[in-house]
Amino acid sequence: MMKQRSEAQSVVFVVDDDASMREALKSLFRSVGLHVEAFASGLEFLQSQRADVASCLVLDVRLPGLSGLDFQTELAKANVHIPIIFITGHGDIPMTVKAMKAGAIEFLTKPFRDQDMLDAVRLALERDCTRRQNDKATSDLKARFDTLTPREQEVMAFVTAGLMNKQIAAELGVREITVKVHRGNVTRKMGARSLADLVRMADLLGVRRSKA
Amino acid sequence: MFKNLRTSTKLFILCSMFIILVGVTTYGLVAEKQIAITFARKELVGNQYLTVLRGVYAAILTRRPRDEPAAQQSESADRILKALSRAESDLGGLLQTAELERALAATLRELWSSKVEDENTDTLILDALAKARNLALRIGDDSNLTLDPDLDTYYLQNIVVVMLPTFLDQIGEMQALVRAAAAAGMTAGEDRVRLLVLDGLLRSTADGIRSNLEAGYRGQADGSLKQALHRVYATMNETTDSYLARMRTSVADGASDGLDASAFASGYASVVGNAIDAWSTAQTELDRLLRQRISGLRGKLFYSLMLIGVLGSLSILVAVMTHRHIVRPLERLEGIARTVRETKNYNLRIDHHNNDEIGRLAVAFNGMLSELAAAREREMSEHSEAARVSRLTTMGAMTASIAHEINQPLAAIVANGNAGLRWLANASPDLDEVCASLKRIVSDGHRASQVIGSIRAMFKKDSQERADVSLNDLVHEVTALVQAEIQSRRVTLKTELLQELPPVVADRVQLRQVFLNLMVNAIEAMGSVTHRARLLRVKSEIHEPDGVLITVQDSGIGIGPTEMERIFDAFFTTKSDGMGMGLAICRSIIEAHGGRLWASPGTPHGSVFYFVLPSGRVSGK
Repeated sequence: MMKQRSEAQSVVFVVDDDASMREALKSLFRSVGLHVEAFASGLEFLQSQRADVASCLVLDVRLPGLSGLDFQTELAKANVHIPIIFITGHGDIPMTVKAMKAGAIEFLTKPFRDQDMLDAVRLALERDCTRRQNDKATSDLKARFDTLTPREQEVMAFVTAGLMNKQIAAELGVREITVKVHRGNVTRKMGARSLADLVRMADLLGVRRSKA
Repeated sequence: MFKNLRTSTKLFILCSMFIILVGVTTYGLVAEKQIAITFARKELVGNQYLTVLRGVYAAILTRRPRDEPAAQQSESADRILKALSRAESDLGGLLQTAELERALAATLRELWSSKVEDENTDTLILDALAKARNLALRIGDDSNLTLDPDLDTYYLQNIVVVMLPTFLDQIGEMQALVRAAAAAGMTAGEDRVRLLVLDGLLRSTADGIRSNLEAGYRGQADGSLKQALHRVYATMNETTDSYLARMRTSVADGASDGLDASAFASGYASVVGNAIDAWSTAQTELDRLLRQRISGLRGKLFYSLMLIGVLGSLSILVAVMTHRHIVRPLERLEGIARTVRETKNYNLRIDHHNNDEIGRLAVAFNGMLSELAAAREREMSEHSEAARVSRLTTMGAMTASIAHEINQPLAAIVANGNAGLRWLANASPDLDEVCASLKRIVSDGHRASQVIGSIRAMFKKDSQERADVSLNDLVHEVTALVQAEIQSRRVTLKTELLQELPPVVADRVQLRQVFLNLMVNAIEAMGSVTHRARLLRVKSEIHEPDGVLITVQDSGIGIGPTEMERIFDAFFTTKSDGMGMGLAICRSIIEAHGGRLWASPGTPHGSVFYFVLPSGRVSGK
């Protein structure tokens, strides 16, 4: 039920210069209850207002103007992390390798089997969903981390690096009792249930400081 | 001018000049030797004449008319006169002796005629002797004897021509004096003086003979002359000395009662006989030596001619060999260079294995040909590779483009079909969606058809660019294009083109593509053929009623009956790297020109492709 809900929210973007193919893909995705938005070129896609939901891009390799592969590169540069499914009339191995290396989900040759396309889209949406959840978790964590005072952030880095209170006190040139107070604040503000939890958060945030 | 002459001509000139030189030299040599031989022959003639004259002397000095019967006497006189006149007629032609001979003959006739008075006899004898001596001297002068070039023969001829006649003359005169003195019965003082003078003369003559003999002996190396003459002359000198000694004694003491002529007669006879003998021997020797000289000269001449002949032959042989070893290889070299230039066959080599300059030239020439062949091979393979790549690229690009154009609507049809099926499969089918999908499928079908139509139109579009095309010219053009392939695959190309082939109205570029395809296919079909000739035959002829038939035949691996049905289908190929478009395109081009393209198995091998195009000219031109 979770999945169904997430798919209902998600959207499939189609970029293909062939109108009939575009319509066919739209019809196909609609028939399985996916929300579809189609564009004739990459530029149109970029200029569109896209909802911040789980999504994927079905991209024709052979496009007028910017080719599909170049468009993939452009998206990466613009920090748009949307999973891409390539479709092409005539795909050769170098082209496929290049696309997959750049993070494409699938590379389908026209005419493709509809089930292959749907499977690829599902996979892409799941990936995007996961990515978004991860992104969301990380950003919550980041928000909580930002509530720490600079001293508390320092203490957190030392703690997660495995230093004892005494050592941290020596490092910071404060008394051990002060470190204990900071440590208590950090654990509370970050909502960590244990030291291991805090360490995992530090990993996600990338704040763990190795011993000098 | 000389530098432009052919080498063989130069050699010929050199050889001819050498032969002329040898000829001139030989002529000089032969002429010189001939002169010497003629000279010696004339001497021989003179000697022969002198032999006859010797008989005359003997007759004058020994035969007294009174001593013999008249008949016998006149017979022997006749014989001697006949011999003299025969000698004159036979030999005198060479010598200016006719007058002197006639004078002598007249005197002799008078002497030996029976009417002659006894007291006149001695006068006549002396006259005859004087004339005979003149004749002898003339013979000596005219027959070159006195000019003899050799020491031995010179002194010998001097004895024969001058000394002995003089001696006999003097002996005859002395005997006449003796006889006159005896007849008169007294010895006048004047006669005595004359006798003594004659004695002195005779001695000096005898001494002259001796000294000449000595000189002659010295001039002759092998001593045969001395051996032959020594005894005879010793005897002559001995008898002469004793005769003269007795004569001197008689003159000294028998002054009053005169001389006893008969006492001297025997001495006189032996002196004359010995002198004649000596003369005869000397003449024989002279004859022998002269003949020896002639045969020597002849031998030398023969030897020289032999030598010249051998050397001449050798030099001609050397010239011929030079011709063979320089001119002939050079000509072969030139011939091969020309053949290579004309046929472009760089695999020809000159076969010449000497270590001389020509041999090294041949080696260098062959090396150069190898370099050329290698360079050409490289160039050809690069060229053919480039042509092949460009052909493949063009074909590939064209095929990819066509494929994409057709694939695009097909993919859309499939996608729409799938979408429609899914809408139908839903629990509550959305027929509007299905309808929309089907409409799109229909329009995609039309789209695909349009693509194909536009490809056809692409070919048809060119029909506006049609012009009069000579298929023969086109064959030459394409032959030039595939020349590299032909050479590298060692294919023999035979073209049988009808000269008066009518033109066809066609797109030159497309027809060239057809020719190129058929010929390259043919060449490639022969690639694996090794056990028979790789023969590519292109033929043009008139195809009744008003068409042109082109035949492209190869001796390649041929086409199987099942394949034969499909070779003109698109995407059908028997080649590992083929795309199966060539013949399909060829057929569509030919058919677009209103012609036909077909194939049949070749006999006995390979396959034959034919196409017919209607002949004609662009109207309104």
